[in-house]
Order: sequence, then C-alpha cells, then structure tokens
Amino acid sequence: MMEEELRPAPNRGGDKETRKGEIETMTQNLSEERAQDSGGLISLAGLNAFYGEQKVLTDITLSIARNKITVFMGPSGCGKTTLLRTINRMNDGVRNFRVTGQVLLDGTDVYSPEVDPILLRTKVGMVFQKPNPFPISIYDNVAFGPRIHKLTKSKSELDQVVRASLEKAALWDEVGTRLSKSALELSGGQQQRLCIARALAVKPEVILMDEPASALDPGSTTRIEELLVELKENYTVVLVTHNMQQAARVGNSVAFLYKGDLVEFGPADEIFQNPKNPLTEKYIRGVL
Amino acid sequence: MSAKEPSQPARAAVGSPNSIGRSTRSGIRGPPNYGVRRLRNAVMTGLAVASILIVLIPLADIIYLFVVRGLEVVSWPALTTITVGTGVEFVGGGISNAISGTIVLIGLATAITVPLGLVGGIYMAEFSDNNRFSEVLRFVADVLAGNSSMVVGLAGYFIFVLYFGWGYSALAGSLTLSILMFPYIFRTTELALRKVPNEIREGARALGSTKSAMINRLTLKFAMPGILTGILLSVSIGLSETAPLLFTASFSNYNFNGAFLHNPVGFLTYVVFVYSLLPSTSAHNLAYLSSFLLITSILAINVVARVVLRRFSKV
Amino acid sequence: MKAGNSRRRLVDRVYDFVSALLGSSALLFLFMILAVLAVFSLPSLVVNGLNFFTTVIWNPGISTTLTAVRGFPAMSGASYGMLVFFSGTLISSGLALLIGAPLSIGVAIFLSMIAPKRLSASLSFFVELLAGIPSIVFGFWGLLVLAPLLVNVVEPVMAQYLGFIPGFGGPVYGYGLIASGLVLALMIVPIVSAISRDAMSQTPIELKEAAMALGMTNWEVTRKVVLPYAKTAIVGSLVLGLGRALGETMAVAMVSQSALNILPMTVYYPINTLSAFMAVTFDSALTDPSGMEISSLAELALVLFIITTTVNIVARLLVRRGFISSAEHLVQV
Repeated sequence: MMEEELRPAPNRGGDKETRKGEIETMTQNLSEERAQDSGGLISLAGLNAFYGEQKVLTDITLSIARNKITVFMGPSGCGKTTLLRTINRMNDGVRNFRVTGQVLLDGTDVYSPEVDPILLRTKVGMVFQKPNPFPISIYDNVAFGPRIHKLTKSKSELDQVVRASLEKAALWDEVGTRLSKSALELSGGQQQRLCIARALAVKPEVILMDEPASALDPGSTTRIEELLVELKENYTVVLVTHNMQQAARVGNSVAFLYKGDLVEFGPADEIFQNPKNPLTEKYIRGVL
Repeated sequence: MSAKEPSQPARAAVGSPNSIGRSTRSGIRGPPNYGVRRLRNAVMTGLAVASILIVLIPLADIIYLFVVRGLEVVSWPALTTITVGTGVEFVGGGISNAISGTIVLIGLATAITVPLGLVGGIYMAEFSDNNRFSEVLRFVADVLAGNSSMVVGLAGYFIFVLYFGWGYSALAGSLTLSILMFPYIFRTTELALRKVPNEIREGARALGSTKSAMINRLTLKFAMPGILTGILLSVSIGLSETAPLLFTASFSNYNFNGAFLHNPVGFLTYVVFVYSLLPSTSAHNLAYLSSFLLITSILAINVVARVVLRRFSKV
Repeated sequence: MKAGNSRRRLVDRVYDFVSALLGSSALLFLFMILAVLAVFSLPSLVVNGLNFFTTVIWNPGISTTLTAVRGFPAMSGASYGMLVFFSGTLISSGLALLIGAPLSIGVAIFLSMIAPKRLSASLSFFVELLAGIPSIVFGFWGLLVLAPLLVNVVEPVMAQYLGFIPGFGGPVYGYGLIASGLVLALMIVPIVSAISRDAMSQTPIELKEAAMALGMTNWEVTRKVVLPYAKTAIVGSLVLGLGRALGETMAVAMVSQSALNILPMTVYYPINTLSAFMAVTFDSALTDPSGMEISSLAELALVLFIITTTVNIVARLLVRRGFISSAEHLVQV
C-alpha cells in the first residue's frame, strides 16, 4: 500500500518495559469492560504523538464510550485535532508524524501492522472543520462512498442509502427534491450536514467531528448540535471543539486538553460543575 | 491481544461488510470489492513509478553518454585549436572556433535582448494596468515562445542575411537568437515584478517617490533574483538552438575575428548536428566534445538559476 | 513645487512610453516574421497553388532549364508538395502525445500523490533538467543509442509479434517514425508533467482528506478527486506539449531518416517533418537558381507557423481557464 510506504514507521510499543506492562493491564481491563458491554469502544492508551522532534501529545489515556458523544475540548494548539486524527490515522501521510502508544478500536490497535488504514476509515468516518463537499451533485456526494466500496447492489438500493443518509443528517427535507443540483449551491450549514450524510453513507461505527460548526452561523450550529445528539443513538461520536458551551450542551464525556496533556477527563457534568484540576477550572472560567 | 490468532489478511467479507464486533480480532474486514481495489491501487502505483523510471533512465543515459564519456574527449588542444577540414572531407582538430563563436553569439544576443525584455517586462508589470495593449503583447510573446525556432530561423535569414545584406554573420545570428530569447526574459521579468508585494510600492509612493524611482530603486531590486533566473534560462534556450543559426550564422572553421557582419561564425550545436553524421572518429569526438560542453554549461546554468532564485529571493 | 511635480510626472510618463515601446518589440518581431515569410513565399503560393497542399512529391527540378510560370521563374519538372512533411509532422507528434501523455501523467501522479515531499522535489528537478537538454543532444542520443536499440531489438520483436496488425509488419529501419515519436515524447514530458503536477498539487487538501476519510485508496483519491480537479490544466498542458512536438526540429532531423517523396506505410518507415525538412534542405534550396525551392520552404514555414500558433492558442485558453498560468511554466520549464 502506498500509504504504508510513505508513513514513517510508527515507533510503537512501549519504549519502557513498565509502560508495556501498564498497557497490557489496561487493555485487559478494557476488554473486561467491553465484555460487560459498558461502553469503551475506543481506548487510547499511553498515546504520544510527535511532529518530528516536537511532541504534541503526551501520554493520553482515555476511553470513548459507545453511543455517546465524547468531546475533546481545549484552547487552539492543545492537540485536540491531532488526537482526533490519530483515531482514523488521517495523519499517516504527514511527514515526520509519529505515534507511540495505542489506539484501540473495539480491542484492535489501529496502528498494528495488520490494520489497513483504508478499511479503518470505513469504520471511523470523519467530518471536517470546513464543509468540504465534492464539486459534484448532492446525490453523487452521498453516493460517493457506497459506490467506491460497492456497498449497494442496485440503483434503488443506492437511492435508499442516499435517502436514509440524508434523512439521518436532517437534510432530506431541504434537498430531497434537488438531488442533482451541485453541492456547492448549498449554504454552509447544509454543506456540513451533507458532509455528515456522506460520512454516514459508508455506514461507519464512529464519527469523528473536527469542530464541525466552527465555520457556521449560530442557526446552523444549533442544527448541527441537535443532529449530533440524534446521531449518538446509532453512532459513537467524538467531537472536537474549542467552544465550551457546545461541549456542555452536547457532550456526555469531556476531555480537557492543554498543551498536549490530558488535564482532565470525565462525565460532562463533573467537568463543568466540579472540575478537579485547577487548569480545567481556569479554562471554564475563561481565564486561561 | 490478537497474538494467539494469526492475523488474517482482509478478504471478501462474510456477512455484513461493516461488522466490527468481535470479529475484529482478526483485523478489520473490508467491503466485498476491497481486494480488487487494493490490487488496482498497487497496479496504478506501479505504473506511476514505472513512468518516472522510464523518464529518468534516458536522462541518466544521456548524462552518462555525454558527460562521463564526454570527459574522455576533453583535452586542452581540442578546446583551443580550430577545426580542420569540412563536412565532405576529413574533419579533425579542435572546436575553439565553435566555442568562441557561441560565446560571441550568445553574448551579443543577451546584450540585445536583456534591455528589450527587461524594460518591456517593467512596462507589463508596472505601467500597463493590464490594459488591452498589454494583453496583446502578452499574447504575441506567447505566440513567439510557442513557435518553432525553425520558422524564426528562416525569417531571420530572409531579414538579416538577405534583406539587410549582412550575409551569414554574428549579428544576423544574434538578432535571430534575440527573437527567440525575448519572450522568456519579457515574461519572467513581468512575473518576478508581479510577485513583489504591493505594500512596498505603496510605501514608496507614500514617501512621495516618483514611480520611476520606486521601480528602479525598490521593486526591481526585490524582483532581481526572478529576473536573473529568467535571463539565465533564456541564455540556456539560446545555447540549445541549432536550426536558426544554421540559416543565419552558417559555420566557420576560424575563430571569431571581430567582424560582426559578412563573416560566418562557428557554434557548438552545429558541430553536434553535422559531425555526428560523419563517419570518422575524429569528427565524432568533436561532436561528443560539443555535446559535453553544451550539457554541462546548460546544467550549470539551470542549477545556478535555481540557486539564485532560492538563495536571494527576498519576497 | 508645482514645476517639480510636473517634471516628476514627465519622468514617469517618459518611462511609461519608453518601456511600452521596448515591450512592443514583441509585436515588431512577430510582424517581421510574418511579413518576410509572406513575401518570400509569394512565388510558391502563386506557382504551386493548391498542389502544394495536396501532393506528395517534392522535386526542385532540373537546373539547366528555367521557364516562367505565372510570371515567376521556375525549373522544368519542379514539383512542390508538402504532404510528406505535413503528415510526418502530425503523425510523429500524435505518436509523441500517445506515448508522452500517459508517461507525463504517471510522472505527475508520482510526484504529487505518491513520492514523499523531499524525493518529489529532487525528482522534479531532474525531470525539469530533461527540458533543458538541447534538442540536438537528444537527437545525437537517439542516433547513438535509441535508433540502434530499436532496429536491433525492439522493432524486430514488434514486427514479429504485432506484424498481423496492418502497419506493424514489414522491414524495420530504426531511424524513422517510432524513433521520432519516442524522442519527441521524451521531450514533451517535462512541460506536461510539470504543469499537471502543479495543478494536481493545488487540489484543496480538504477535498483530498474528505475522500481519504471515506476510506478511499490513494489511487481512488487521485482518480476521483485530484484528476477531475486538475483536468483542464492537464489537457492544456498536453496541447502545449503537442505544440512543442509539432515545432521540434533537430532531434527529429537526426532520427527520422529524412524521408522524401514517400508516405509512411508502416510504423517503422522513415518520415520527415515540416521543420526537420526545412533544416536539412535549406542549403540545397539556396542552389536553386529559380529561387522556387527556398520560396516553397518559406511557405512550409508559414504552414508550420499557423499550425503551432493555433495549437498554442488552444492550449493557452485551456490552461488559463484552468488553475494555473501557463506562462509561469513556459518560462520556468
């Protein structure tokens, strides 16, 4: 695979023996947790990330629950987007980018050699900060993934997938009658929901959202937030935002990151009402 | 975790292609057509790699043939003596006539073209305001640059050799080369000047400077690396030309004698063209030597041009 | 104060005028070229008429007897038809495009989508060096390496196994259509691949990442997102490359075996092109006392000018409407 040739071989696995043991215990714990079906679809264990010599993420360990919205929150440059992109290995092609530690998706380390990043991304969809529809029709945008992956057997099945995806993205009512129009004619908020529909059409389990509403007006933002809450019924959502109110409105769990460190991670209520770490408290009070 | 079970390669899925549940212990499974898609990806990657190799192998061979093996025929006498004999008989000696002629032709052509192209380029970037006339000039320069040098060469013969009555001569050859080099200097100067940020111009105007002073003292300085690159590249264009010089400079076995009119002059590309087709080894060696000089000087110019652009670019 | 201001304005206006005047040398050059070619091709236009465009035979005639045809001196038995050179130009350039297009696009894909940045930068430099090699040196290389390889190895094998296809059987020559097409293909790769690579690299990263995030392979990202995005510029660069191949002279003159009075019947045949023929015939044309051969060469030059200019205009329209300015490449490649 081209991807793998290009990527500097991630220097994974514990650099220290102790770290290794730690991870093993942890992953065992996680497996047990999963056996009890109590969440923990994705687990990050001792995750470090580097751009060249610069360390951008330090020893991140947290668990992302199934069918919940987990929020990565923090000021810009705190590493939250990088963290998000390690989950579907979007940074593989970035020069000098390197990861150590583990990202477990349902028990499988996504950075292990037998995992194909291409397939990983069919399970872990992504929505970006700036709406990025392809310059083709609305229908073709949503059908893009299913067509490549041959997920449907007939035109009518594809039509159904497109419709279902647009409905789930709360866009069908607005565009159902003009599917052949260019996606670029839609408003920013509609474009972003189209991108969500496009990701849903591939039938992922997890949806990563990188500040999906930061480029949108308040009305569109509200719609996207409502949509996020609906989506968690069927999907595991990971949301990156620098907007605290948004994190509080939609998040089930919140991770606060600062300068590459995971400062605090817990249920949203606890983080916002009773932060344990003084840094978190400062951030929430807006004085950081 | 999956250490107990050997990992399985992605294969055509059994059941739902998207099932991720416990089956992920054997790796994440792909959609049904994934094997084909992966193969296609590998094949297309292979073809792209093959393309670059197919292009680089001749390049390597050309450099080997004319630089490495060309070095074998380099000698002081070959560089400093004139050619003996003509195409129909034995050819030998050296190529100092072609070297001196080339230097004169290129030097004169550059001296003629730089003022025209440079000042013309200044008009395009600083004065024209992209008016209709400048659009016409840009178009005409593009037409000139895109044309066969053969056409320009024949026209040069008719104009300079015949109509002006200069005969085969350094001036006829240089002016013909000028027509070919002009568009390159003209357009690079414009592009280099356009890259100078407008704040610099506005700053100068705010200080009450005339436009002329602003251009000469400021923008030209900032654009100089780009302009120099354009000039260097146009010199390499001139060095590579053969056909137009065949018609205007002809060829001479004697060193440049200081006369710009009525005296044919030698040049390197002629040696390659004519002597490579002759049977004798001595003629072939002269062709090798000329190729060596052409390639090394053009490569050197290309490298210098890039260094100039990267090192000295302030904008 | 006022006087100073107006003098300043005067300086600027003089600068404006003088620079416009020097820039206009482009117009002067083009006008001179077209004017002399038109004047000198006049005898050929009048005497040869339409036969020039429809006949195959190019024969300056017998030099002992001069007759007058429509007021111009001509030699008996003279005949000037451009079809051999015209068709040779089109066929060899077409072949060059056929081979060069996939090659260039492959190179562009490798440089922009596959190679790591540093490797891509140094390889781009080497590919661009290829553009700097004088065409005469390409020709010499074709003469020494390529044509012998073709005649000894490639063409016999082709003739043996592809001989059943019309045009692929028969004797092989080495020097001829295939050699010309290959050398021309190599010569257009740098400009086509450089423009295509740039256009492909300008595909917004958002679109590429969107496709990657949907689980596309690198090729699928290229095929579905990058190539459509860069399509116009790629087509434009190909037409620009075609323009180059059409006007290329020396390399073809050295490997085409300068066919005369014969149209290529197989891919191995010797050929000739408008510009290559002009280069090798110029000297003998000057010895024609009627001046008709040199006039006919001028008409060939006019034909070549019209062809390459048309192709270049098309290319420029395409590339300008595309995503980058062609001029930048014209000067840098």
